[in-house]
Amino acid sequence: MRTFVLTLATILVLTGSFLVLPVHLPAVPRTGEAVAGPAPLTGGTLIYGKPKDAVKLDPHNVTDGESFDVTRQIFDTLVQFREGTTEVEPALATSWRVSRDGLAWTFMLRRGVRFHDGTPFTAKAVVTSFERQMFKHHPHHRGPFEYWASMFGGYPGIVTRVRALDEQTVRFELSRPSAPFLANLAMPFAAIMSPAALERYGEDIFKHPIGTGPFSLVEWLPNERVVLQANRGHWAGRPYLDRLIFKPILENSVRLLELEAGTIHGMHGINTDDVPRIQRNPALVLHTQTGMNVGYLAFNTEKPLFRDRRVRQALSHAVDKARLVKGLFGAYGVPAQTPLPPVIWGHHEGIRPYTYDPERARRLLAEAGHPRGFRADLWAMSVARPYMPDARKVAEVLQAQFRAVGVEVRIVSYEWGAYLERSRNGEHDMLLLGWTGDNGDPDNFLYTLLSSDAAVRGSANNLAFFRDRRLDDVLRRAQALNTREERAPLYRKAQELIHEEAPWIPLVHSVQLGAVRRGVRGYALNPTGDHRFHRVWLEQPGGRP
Amino acid sequence: MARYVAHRLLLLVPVLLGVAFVTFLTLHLTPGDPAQIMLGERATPEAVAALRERLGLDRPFATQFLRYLGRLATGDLGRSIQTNNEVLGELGLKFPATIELALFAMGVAIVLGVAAGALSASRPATLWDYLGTIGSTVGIAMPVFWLGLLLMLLFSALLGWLPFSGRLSPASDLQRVTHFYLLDSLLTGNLRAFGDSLRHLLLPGLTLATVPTAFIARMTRAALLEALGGEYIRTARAKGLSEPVVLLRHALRNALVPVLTITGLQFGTLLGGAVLTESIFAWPGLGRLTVDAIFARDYPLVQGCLLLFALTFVLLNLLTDLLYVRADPRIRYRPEPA
Repeated sequence: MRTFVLTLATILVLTGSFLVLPVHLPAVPRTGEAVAGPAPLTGGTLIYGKPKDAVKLDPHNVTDGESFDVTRQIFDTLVQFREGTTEVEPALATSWRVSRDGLAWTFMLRRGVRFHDGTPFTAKAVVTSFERQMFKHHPHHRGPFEYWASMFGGYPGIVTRVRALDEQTVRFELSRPSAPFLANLAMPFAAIMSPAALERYGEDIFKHPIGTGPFSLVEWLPNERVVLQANRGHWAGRPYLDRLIFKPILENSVRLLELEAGTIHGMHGINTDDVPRIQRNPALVLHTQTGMNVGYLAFNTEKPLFRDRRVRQALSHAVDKARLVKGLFGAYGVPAQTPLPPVIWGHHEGIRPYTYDPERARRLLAEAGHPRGFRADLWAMSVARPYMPDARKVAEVLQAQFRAVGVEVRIVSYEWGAYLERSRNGEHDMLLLGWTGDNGDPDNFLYTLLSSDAAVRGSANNLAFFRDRRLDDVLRRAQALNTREERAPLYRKAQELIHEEAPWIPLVHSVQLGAVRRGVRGYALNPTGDHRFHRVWLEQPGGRP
Repeated sequence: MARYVAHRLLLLVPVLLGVAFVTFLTLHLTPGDPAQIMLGERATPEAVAALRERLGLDRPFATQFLRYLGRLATGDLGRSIQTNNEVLGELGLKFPATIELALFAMGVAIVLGVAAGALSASRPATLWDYLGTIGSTVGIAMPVFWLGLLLMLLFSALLGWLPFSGRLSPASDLQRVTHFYLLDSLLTGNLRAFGDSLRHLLLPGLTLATVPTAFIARMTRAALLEALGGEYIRTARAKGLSEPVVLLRHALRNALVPVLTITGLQFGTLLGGAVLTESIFAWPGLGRLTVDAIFARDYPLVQGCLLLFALTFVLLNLLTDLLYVRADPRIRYRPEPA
């Protein structure tokens, strides 16, 4: 297989078709632990505890991680994130190419793949799976399809057409070049679904998910369990497990008790306080992974007070970030130095953080004309978010640290819906918020959160309302390029500009936690938040959990 | 009697209308636009507007409520915002789990409560009486959440006798007919599943039963003590009847009416307690469905859940009233004269 694909890729390069630009030398997916440790064993049932049940098993029509955790096992995508990374690798597509103008992406599909209902996987399935999401008039466009709209900008958004060139080739036509396009196709909403099943079940498709993935659905009893079984004919090899059962257990503490007692094999949704208890227990293994997220403080640069860069820099020097994160997040967070989390390519390692230096902060404030400090509001979310479980406490710590340099902060909270709405209107002085990325592309953070295109009152995601021509220019140039090698330096430049201008104080990247019993191998957390079980195996497949 | 029942059933209509109105109003007064909350950080004004339109939230309150009532009249409870499933279907799937748990807990509460109360009353001011009184006070005061975790720690984590959570072991193979698992396992002759689901019922059942057991025990004790002071008891004893016969056949029967009242009322409280118990023990019932629906701002589903709770509560009260007649032949129901 590998030889074939490599040959194909080589031919593409050598024939030098000037219209196409091969962007990837496809490789067969890596098989996790199989390379290093002991040889994996096949068989057994794994029971996995999760905080909530899936809402629907229709990956096109859900947005919550708990649903995607299940659909990820049942469905494949054209390309996928390599386990543990945000690198894109082949999946149902073995190779692809993009036209020079970046407007046409052509995918060569894997041969001989079948859906769980026995029907063959062809270009038609790809077309149906996307047309269903992108066209409002499509007979199976029933539901919100929110992910499609948010990643591609509406219905149909920037994808104007998905065309089957032949049985094994699909072409996507775009209205403008989009560098993150490929990464978007690795997200779980881009799942390829059996068209036959869609015809057969119609609106009830969410109870009858039929994909090509490593596991197929046996039964789903809502709030009770989801039972999956191995797809022995999977194109990347059968999963090691025979069965995989998801059991929703609402209470974090109860779920942990079950893991300790061994009635489940693994879980996520761990209270920070329980981390030491898991670490002490020799029967359990704790997994951590810095998430694809950032929690930040944004200065509203439209307010006269924060228009002065020195004020923003002063407050950046006033924050003892290491202490804040250690005290409030513990094992659950790492201090952020740039808006881009370190798990995303393009992250700038070389940024020299603003040192904690109250003296310098006071000096900068004096230079900016505030020798005796000033008063301002700091907004804090009233609800727990994945990147900041308790924003009020973060605000209180910041309040104390700002006070030390003479800045008196009043903490303001609104109900969550109102908080978002008012902040988009730019009513705040400073606010806490965050972002969880999903396609592993720097554009999804930097352009979405700090470009002037995103600083439009009423719909702003750029809540610093930061407008900088140099930054906009860099970000737009990066959008129009297709390879990572070309784009990465631009994003590094962008992070330097952001750091220097300090529209934000990037505070924290929260860490995901997961735990398994010692005999569970191959379990890994992914920056994307996915949990995958294809390469998970049990040291004692016959034993009880 | 039949007219009385019909009268009471007719009264259901205004009661349910009231419940529908109050829940509808409460949900709409709750701060936060559901569309904003559902979309979170990704909420653009267009997306929020589109979602509001889809959910019908862009219309005036009165219009929304009248539309809802109109559909309600035809038995249409709407569709869940999250899953687009018929609310009625969702309720039908989850209600049996809650009823099974509640009935089991009520059975436990009645047996234990009446026994403890009778024991206390028949030996007033003895060690047994004090134990009963202390026990019932603790039972009433103990938070369900804490007790549930405590029982789980003891019986599941430490001793390993009973399962932690759920209604059945993940590997069990019960064929579902009525969704009452005890019943289903008997119907399909699956004795292993019967034992399995009974074991799963024990801890949540006991947890849920604590408060009603305590109330029933106190009421039984008080009512029995009062009855035991009656002239007829002296007569019965004078006739030479044995003490257990006096207690059980004469005194207890007379003490039953107040006990029935408290039992009926407790059943309602029990449904409320089920919300917490179901969360702790991952019991896939109506209580958890309600909590999830509230968090997701799934208005139609929240409304359906609350209506069903109200309906159950009202019907249980009616049933209690009817049971009075069985317990005390002096009680006769007639519709009030006009």
